[in-house]
Amino acid sequence: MNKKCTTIRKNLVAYLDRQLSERKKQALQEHLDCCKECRAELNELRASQATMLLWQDITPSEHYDRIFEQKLAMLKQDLAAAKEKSHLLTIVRHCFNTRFALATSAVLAVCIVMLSIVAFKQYRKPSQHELGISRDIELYRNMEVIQYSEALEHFDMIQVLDVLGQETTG
Amino acid sequence: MDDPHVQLMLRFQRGDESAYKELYETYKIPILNFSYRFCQDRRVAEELSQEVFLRVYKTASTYRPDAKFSTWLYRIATNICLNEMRTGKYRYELEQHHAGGEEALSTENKNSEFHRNVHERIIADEAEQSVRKAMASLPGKQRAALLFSVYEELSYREIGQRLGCSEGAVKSIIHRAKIGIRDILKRGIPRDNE
Repeated sequence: MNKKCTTIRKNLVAYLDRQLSERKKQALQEHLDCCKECRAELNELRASQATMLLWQDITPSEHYDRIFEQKLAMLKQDLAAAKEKSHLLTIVRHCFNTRFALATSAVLAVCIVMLSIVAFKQYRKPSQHELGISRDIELYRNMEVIQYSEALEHFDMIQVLDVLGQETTG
Repeated sequence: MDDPHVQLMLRFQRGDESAYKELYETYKIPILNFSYRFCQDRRVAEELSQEVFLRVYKTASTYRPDAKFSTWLYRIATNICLNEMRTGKYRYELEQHHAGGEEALSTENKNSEFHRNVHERIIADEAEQSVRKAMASLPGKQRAALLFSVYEELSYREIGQRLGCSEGAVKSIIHRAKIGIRDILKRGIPRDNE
Protein backbone atom coordinates (compact mmCIF):
# COMPACT_ATOMS: atom_id res chain seq x y z
CA MET A 1 0.00 0.00 0.00
CA ASN A 2 1.59 3.26 -1.10
CA LYS A 3 1.44 6.63 0.61
CA LYS A 4 -1.41 7.80 -1.60
CA CYS A 5 -3.53 4.77 -0.61
CA THR A 6 -2.91 5.47 3.11
CA THR A 7 -4.19 9.02 2.71
CA ILE A 8 -7.17 7.92 0.63
CA ARG A 9 -8.19 5.23 3.13
CA LYS A 10 -8.27 7.77 5.93
CA ASN A 11 -11.02 9.53 3.99
CA LEU A 12 -13.06 6.52 2.89
CA VAL A 13 -15.45 6.61 5.85
CA ALA A 14 -16.04 10.34 5.43
CA TYR A 15 -16.58 9.71 1.69
CA LEU A 16 -19.25 7.09 2.47
CA ASP A 17 -20.87 9.50 4.92
CA ARG A 18 -20.83 12.25 2.25
CA GLN A 19 -18.77 14.48 4.48
CA LEU A 20 -15.90 15.27 2.13
CA SER A 21 -15.40 18.55 0.32
CA GLU A 22 -15.90 18.51 -3.47
CA ARG A 23 -12.17 18.76 -4.10
CA LYS A 24 -11.27 15.83 -1.83
CA LYS A 25 -14.16 13.79 -3.15
CA GLN A 26 -13.01 14.22 -6.72
CA ALA A 27 -9.43 13.27 -5.86
CA LEU A 28 -10.67 10.17 -4.02
CA GLN A 29 -12.89 9.07 -6.90
CA GLU A 30 -10.02 9.45 -9.35
CA HIS A 31 -7.85 7.27 -7.12
CA LEU A 32 -10.59 4.63 -6.73
CA ASP A 33 -10.90 4.35 -10.51
CA CYS A 34 -7.34 3.16 -10.75
CA CYS A 35 -6.78 1.37 -7.36
CA LYS A 36 -8.39 -2.04 -6.96
CA GLU A 37 -7.33 -2.44 -3.31
CA CYS A 38 -8.86 0.82 -2.15
CA ARG A 39 -12.06 -0.03 -4.06
CA ALA A 40 -12.22 -3.35 -2.19
CA GLU A 41 -11.70 -1.51 1.10
CA LEU A 42 -14.54 0.85 0.24
CA ASN A 43 -16.83 -2.05 -0.64
CA GLU A 44 -16.09 -3.73 2.69
CA LEU A 45 -16.95 -0.58 4.58
CA ARG A 46 -20.13 -0.20 2.53
CA ALA A 47 -21.08 -3.83 3.26
CA SER A 48 -20.52 -3.47 7.01
CA GLN A 49 -22.64 -0.31 7.01
CA ALA A 50 -25.40 -2.19 5.17
CA THR A 51 -25.17 -5.00 7.72
CA MET A 52 -25.55 -2.50 10.54
CA LEU A 53 -28.76 -1.25 8.97
CA LEU A 54 -30.22 -4.76 9.36
CA TRP A 55 -30.58 -4.05 13.07
CA GLN A 56 -34.29 -3.47 13.30
CA ASP A 57 -36.03 -0.76 15.31
CA ILE A 58 -38.04 -1.74 18.37
CA THR A 59 -41.34 -0.32 19.58
CA PRO A 60 -42.14 0.52 23.21
CA SER A 61 -43.73 -2.24 25.30
CA GLU A 62 -47.44 -1.98 26.05
CA HIS A 63 -46.82 -0.62 29.58
CA TYR A 64 -44.26 1.95 28.50
CA ASP A 65 -46.60 4.97 28.52
CA ARG A 66 -48.37 3.94 31.74
CA ILE A 67 -45.08 3.51 33.60
CA PHE A 68 -43.83 6.81 32.24
CA GLU A 69 -47.00 8.58 33.39
CA GLN A 70 -46.47 7.17 36.90
CA LYS A 71 -42.85 8.31 36.96
CA LEU A 72 -43.84 11.75 35.68
CA ALA A 73 -46.53 12.09 38.35
CA MET A 74 -43.97 11.22 41.04
CA LEU A 75 -41.51 13.72 39.61
CA LYS A 76 -44.18 16.43 39.62
CA GLN A 77 -44.91 15.70 43.31
CA ASP A 78 -41.20 15.84 44.15
CA LEU A 79 -40.78 19.11 42.28
CA ALA A 80 -43.81 20.64 44.05
CA ALA A 81 -42.46 19.53 47.45
CA ALA A 82 -39.00 20.88 46.62
CA LYS A 83 -40.52 24.20 45.53
CA GLU A 84 -42.46 24.51 48.79
CA LYS A 85 -39.37 23.64 50.81
CA SER A 86 -37.26 26.17 48.97
CA HIS A 87 -39.96 28.82 49.55
CA LEU A 88 -39.89 28.13 53.30
CA LEU A 89 -36.11 28.17 53.28
CA THR A 90 -36.16 31.54 51.56
CA ILE A 91 -38.38 32.96 54.29
CA VAL A 92 -36.18 31.48 57.03
CA ARG A 93 -33.05 32.80 55.34
CA HIS A 94 -34.66 36.21 54.99
CA CYS A 95 -35.52 36.20 58.70
CA PHE A 96 -32.09 35.08 59.78
CA ASN A 97 -29.92 37.11 57.54
CA THR A 98 -27.13 39.19 59.10
CA ARG A 99 -28.95 42.51 59.06
CA PHE A 100 -32.03 41.06 60.72
CA ALA A 101 -29.92 39.36 63.41
CA LEU A 102 -28.05 42.63 64.14
CA ALA A 103 -31.26 44.66 64.37
CA THR A 104 -32.86 42.11 66.73
CA SER A 105 -29.79 42.09 68.99
CA ALA A 106 -29.74 45.90 69.14
CA VAL A 107 -33.45 46.11 70.07
CA LEU A 108 -32.99 43.48 72.82
CA ALA A 109 -29.96 45.30 74.23
CA VAL A 110 -31.87 48.62 74.38
CA CYS A 111 -34.81 46.93 76.17
CA ILE A 112 -32.52 45.37 78.80
CA VAL A 113 -30.80 48.71 79.47
CA MET A 114 -34.13 50.56 79.85
CA LEU A 115 -35.55 47.93 82.25
CA SER A 116 -32.38 48.14 84.34
CA ILE A 117 -32.67 51.95 84.58
CA VAL A 118 -36.33 51.73 85.66
CA ALA A 119 -35.54 49.10 88.30
CA PHE A 120 -32.60 51.16 89.64
CA LYS A 121 -34.71 54.33 89.89
CA GLN A 122 -37.44 52.53 91.86
CA TYR A 123 -34.96 51.34 94.54
CA ARG A 124 -34.07 53.77 97.47
CA LYS A 125 -32.70 53.35 101.01
CA PRO A 126 -35.35 53.19 103.86
CA SER A 127 -35.33 56.17 106.29
CA GLN A 128 -34.53 55.88 110.06
CA HIS A 129 -38.18 56.38 110.87
CA GLU A 130 -39.19 53.50 108.60
CA LEU A 131 -36.49 51.30 110.10
CA GLY A 132 -37.82 52.14 113.63
CA ILE A 133 -41.36 51.16 112.60
CA SER A 134 -40.04 47.92 111.16
CA ARG A 135 -38.28 47.10 114.45
CA ASP A 136 -41.47 47.88 116.45
CA ILE A 137 -43.51 45.60 114.25
CA GLU A 138 -40.99 42.81 114.86
CA LEU A 139 -41.18 43.32 118.63
CA TYR A 140 -44.92 43.41 118.52
CA ARG A 141 -45.01 40.14 116.62
CA ASN A 142 -42.72 38.54 119.24
CA MET A 143 -45.00 39.76 122.04
CA GLU A 144 -48.00 38.35 120.24
CA VAL A 145 -46.33 34.98 120.03
CA ILE A 146 -45.55 35.02 123.77
CA GLN A 147 -49.10 36.00 124.64
CA TYR A 148 -50.44 33.31 122.41
CA SER A 149 -48.26 30.67 124.11
CA GLU A 150 -49.41 31.82 127.52
CA ALA A 151 -53.02 31.63 126.38
CA LEU A 152 -52.45 28.05 125.22
CA GLU A 153 -51.00 27.17 128.62
CA HIS A 154 -54.09 28.61 130.31
CA PHE A 155 -56.25 26.66 127.95
CA ASP A 156 -54.52 23.41 128.94
CA MET A 157 -55.04 24.24 132.61
CA ILE A 158 -58.77 24.84 132.07
CA GLN A 159 -59.08 21.54 130.24
CA VAL A 160 -57.37 19.67 133.11
CA LEU A 161 -59.68 21.34 135.66
CA ASP A 162 -62.69 20.41 133.58
CA VAL A 163 -61.65 16.78 133.48
CA LEU A 164 -61.07 16.77 137.25
CA GLY A 165 -64.41 18.46 137.83
CA GLN A 166 -66.22 15.86 135.71
CA GLU A 167 -64.53 13.04 137.61
CA THR A 168 -65.50 14.47 141.06
CA THR A 169 -69.13 15.03 140.06
CA GLY A 170 -69.23 11.54 138.52
CA MET B 1 -34.88 29.39 15.57
CA ASP B 2 -37.20 27.81 12.93
CA ASP B 3 -37.18 24.33 14.47
CA PRO B 4 -40.84 23.64 15.41
CA HIS B 5 -39.68 21.45 18.28
CA VAL B 6 -37.77 24.37 19.78
CA GLN B 7 -41.04 26.31 19.71
CA LEU B 8 -42.78 23.40 21.46
CA MET B 9 -40.07 23.32 24.10
CA LEU B 10 -40.39 27.07 24.65
CA ARG B 11 -44.15 26.65 25.00
CA PHE B 12 -43.57 23.96 27.58
CA GLN B 13 -41.11 26.22 29.36
CA ARG B 14 -43.95 28.74 29.67
CA GLY B 15 -46.10 26.05 31.32
CA ASP B 16 -47.90 24.41 28.39
CA GLU B 17 -47.92 20.71 29.33
CA SER B 18 -49.49 19.70 26.01
CA ALA B 19 -46.31 20.85 24.23
CA TYR B 20 -44.29 18.49 26.44
CA LYS B 21 -46.68 15.65 25.60
CA GLU B 22 -46.22 16.36 21.88
CA LEU B 23 -42.43 16.29 22.19
CA TYR B 24 -42.65 13.04 24.15
CA GLU B 25 -44.81 11.42 21.47
CA THR B 26 -42.50 12.64 18.69
CA TYR B 27 -39.22 11.49 20.20
CA LYS B 28 -40.32 8.51 22.30
CA ILE B 29 -39.45 5.86 19.68
CA PRO B 30 -36.23 7.43 18.31
CA ILE B 31 -34.85 7.90 21.82
CA LEU B 32 -35.89 4.38 22.82
CA ASN B 33 -34.09 2.94 19.79
CA PHE B 34 -30.99 5.02 20.39
CA SER B 35 -30.89 3.76 24.01
CA TYR B 36 -31.61 0.21 22.89
CA ARG B 37 -28.81 0.15 20.34
CA PHE B 38 -26.51 1.73 22.86
CA CYS B 39 -27.16 -0.60 25.81
CA GLN B 40 -28.63 -3.58 23.93
CA ASP B 41 -31.16 -4.45 26.60
CA ARG B 42 -34.79 -3.67 25.93
CA ARG B 43 -35.83 -3.20 29.55
CA VAL B 44 -32.82 -1.02 30.37
CA ALA B 45 -33.42 0.96 27.17
CA GLU B 46 -37.00 1.67 28.23
CA GLU B 47 -35.82 2.90 31.63
CA LEU B 48 -33.12 5.05 30.04
CA SER B 49 -35.41 6.62 27.46
CA GLN B 50 -37.97 7.43 30.17
CA GLU B 51 -35.18 8.95 32.23
CA VAL B 52 -34.36 11.19 29.24
CA PHE B 53 -37.90 12.61 29.14
CA LEU B 54 -38.01 13.03 32.91
CA ARG B 55 -34.72 14.95 32.69
CA VAL B 56 -36.27 17.16 30.00
CA TYR B 57 -39.18 17.90 32.33
CA LYS B 58 -36.90 18.59 35.27
CA THR B 59 -34.44 20.83 33.44
CA ALA B 60 -36.92 22.65 31.20
CA SER B 61 -36.30 25.93 33.02
CA THR B 62 -32.60 25.84 32.04
CA TYR B 63 -33.27 25.13 28.34
CA ARG B 64 -31.84 27.71 25.92
CA PRO B 65 -32.80 27.56 22.23
CA ASP B 66 -29.18 27.72 21.01
CA ALA B 67 -29.44 24.74 18.65
CA LYS B 68 -31.98 22.28 17.30
CA PHE B 69 -34.15 20.71 19.98
CA SER B 70 -33.02 17.23 18.93
CA THR B 71 -29.39 18.24 19.55
CA TRP B 72 -30.20 19.12 23.15
CA LEU B 73 -32.37 16.03 23.61
CA TYR B 74 -29.80 13.60 22.21
CA ARG B 75 -27.07 15.18 24.27
CA ILE B 76 -29.13 14.35 27.36
CA ALA B 77 -29.74 10.84 26.00
CA THR B 78 -26.04 10.30 25.28
CA ASN B 79 -25.03 11.45 28.75
CA ILE B 80 -27.60 9.15 30.36
CA CYS B 81 -26.47 6.18 28.24
CA LEU B 82 -22.77 6.85 28.92
CA ASN B 83 -23.57 7.11 32.62
CA GLU B 84 -25.44 3.81 32.53
CA MET B 85 -22.48 2.27 30.73
CA ARG B 86 -20.22 3.41 33.58
CA THR B 87 -22.47 2.60 36.54
CA GLY B 88 -24.86 -0.10 35.24
CA LYS B 89 -27.46 1.29 37.67
CA TYR B 90 -30.61 0.30 35.77
CA ARG B 91 -29.21 -3.03 34.63
CA TYR B 92 -28.41 -3.88 38.26
CA GLU B 93 -31.80 -2.68 39.54
CA LEU B 94 -33.70 -4.66 36.91
CA GLU B 95 -31.66 -7.78 37.60
CA GLN B 96 -32.42 -7.45 41.32
CA HIS B 97 -36.08 -6.80 40.61
CA HIS B 98 -36.43 -9.83 38.35
CA ALA B 99 -34.42 -12.09 40.63
CA GLY B 100 -36.77 -11.31 43.54
CA GLY B 101 -40.05 -10.95 41.75
CA GLU B 102 -39.98 -13.53 38.98
CA GLU B 103 -42.70 -15.60 40.65
CA ALA B 104 -44.92 -12.62 41.24
CA LEU B 105 -45.13 -11.53 37.63
CA SER B 106 -48.70 -10.62 36.74
CA THR B 107 -50.42 -12.01 33.64
CA GLU B 108 -49.78 -8.70 31.92
CA ASN B 109 -46.09 -8.89 32.65
CA LYS B 110 -45.95 -12.49 31.57
CA ASN B 111 -47.45 -11.42 28.26
CA SER B 112 -44.87 -8.70 27.85
CA GLU B 113 -42.16 -11.23 28.75
CA PHE B 114 -43.56 -13.45 26.03
CA HIS B 115 -43.44 -10.61 23.52
CA ARG B 116 -39.91 -9.86 24.59
CA ASN B 117 -38.91 -13.45 23.99
CA VAL B 118 -40.49 -13.32 20.55
CA HIS B 119 -38.47 -10.22 19.94
CA GLU B 120 -35.34 -11.97 21.20
CA ARG B 121 -35.98 -14.73 18.69
CA ILE B 122 -36.38 -12.24 15.90
CA ILE B 123 -33.15 -10.49 16.74
CA ALA B 124 -31.39 -13.81 16.90
CA ASP B 125 -30.71 -13.27 13.25
CA GLU B 126 -27.03 -13.88 12.68
CA ALA B 127 -26.15 -10.59 11.04
CA GLU B 128 -27.94 -8.57 13.69
CA GLN B 129 -26.27 -10.51 16.47
CA SER B 130 -22.89 -9.79 14.92
CA VAL B 131 -23.67 -6.08 14.70
CA ARG B 132 -24.75 -6.08 18.33
CA LYS B 133 -21.55 -7.78 19.42
CA ALA B 134 -19.46 -5.43 17.33
CA MET B 135 -21.29 -2.41 18.69
CA ALA B 136 -20.88 -3.64 22.27
CA SER B 137 -17.12 -3.80 21.80
CA LEU B 138 -16.88 -0.06 21.03
CA PRO B 139 -16.15 2.60 23.65
CA GLY B 140 -19.14 4.75 24.63
CA LYS B 141 -18.41 7.85 22.58
CA GLN B 142 -17.59 5.88 19.44
CA ARG B 143 -20.80 3.92 19.89
CA ALA B 144 -22.92 7.05 20.21
CA ALA B 145 -21.22 8.70 17.23
CA LEU B 146 -21.74 5.60 15.11
CA LEU B 147 -25.42 5.39 16.01
CA PHE B 148 -25.93 9.01 15.03
CA SER B 149 -24.04 8.49 11.78
CA VAL B 150 -25.52 5.17 10.64
CA TYR B 151 -29.10 5.25 11.93
CA GLU B 152 -29.80 8.96 11.73
CA GLU B 153 -27.42 9.90 8.92
CA LEU B 154 -26.37 13.09 10.65
CA SER B 155 -23.53 15.29 9.45
CA TYR B 156 -20.29 15.33 11.42
CA ARG B 157 -21.08 18.87 12.50
CA GLU B 158 -24.43 17.83 13.98
CA ILE B 159 -22.88 14.81 15.67
CA GLY B 160 -20.23 17.10 17.12
CA GLN B 161 -22.95 19.35 18.54
CA ARG B 162 -24.67 16.38 20.14
CA LEU B 163 -21.48 14.98 21.61
CA GLY B 164 -19.96 18.32 22.48
CA CYS B 165 -16.82 17.93 20.34
CA SER B 166 -15.35 19.34 17.14
CA GLU B 167 -16.11 18.20 13.60
CA GLY B 168 -12.53 16.98 13.22
CA ALA B 169 -12.78 14.92 16.38
CA VAL B 170 -16.05 13.38 15.15
CA LYS B 171 -14.43 12.45 11.84
CA SER B 172 -11.67 10.66 13.70
CA ILE B 173 -14.08 8.94 16.16
CA ILE B 174 -16.36 7.69 13.39
CA HIS B 175 -13.44 6.55 11.24
CA ARG B 176 -12.10 4.44 14.10
CA ALA B 177 -15.56 3.10 14.96
CA LYS B 178 -16.44 2.10 11.40
CA ILE B 179 -13.08 0.46 10.75
CA GLY B 180 -13.46 -1.40 14.06
CA ILE B 181 -16.97 -2.58 13.19
CA ARG B 182 -15.85 -3.56 9.71
CA ASP B 183 -13.04 -5.69 11.14
CA ILE B 184 -15.30 -7.42 13.67
CA LEU B 185 -18.03 -8.10 11.12
CA LYS B 186 -15.45 -9.38 8.63
CA ARG B 187 -14.28 -11.92 11.19
CA GLY B 188 -17.74 -12.82 12.53
CA ILE B 189 -20.09 -12.96 9.56
CA PRO B 190 -19.99 -15.72 6.93
CA ARG B 191 -19.20 -14.72 3.38
CA ASP B 192 -22.87 -15.10 2.31
CA ASN B 193 -23.94 -12.23 4.54
CA GLU B 194 -21.32 -9.83 3.28
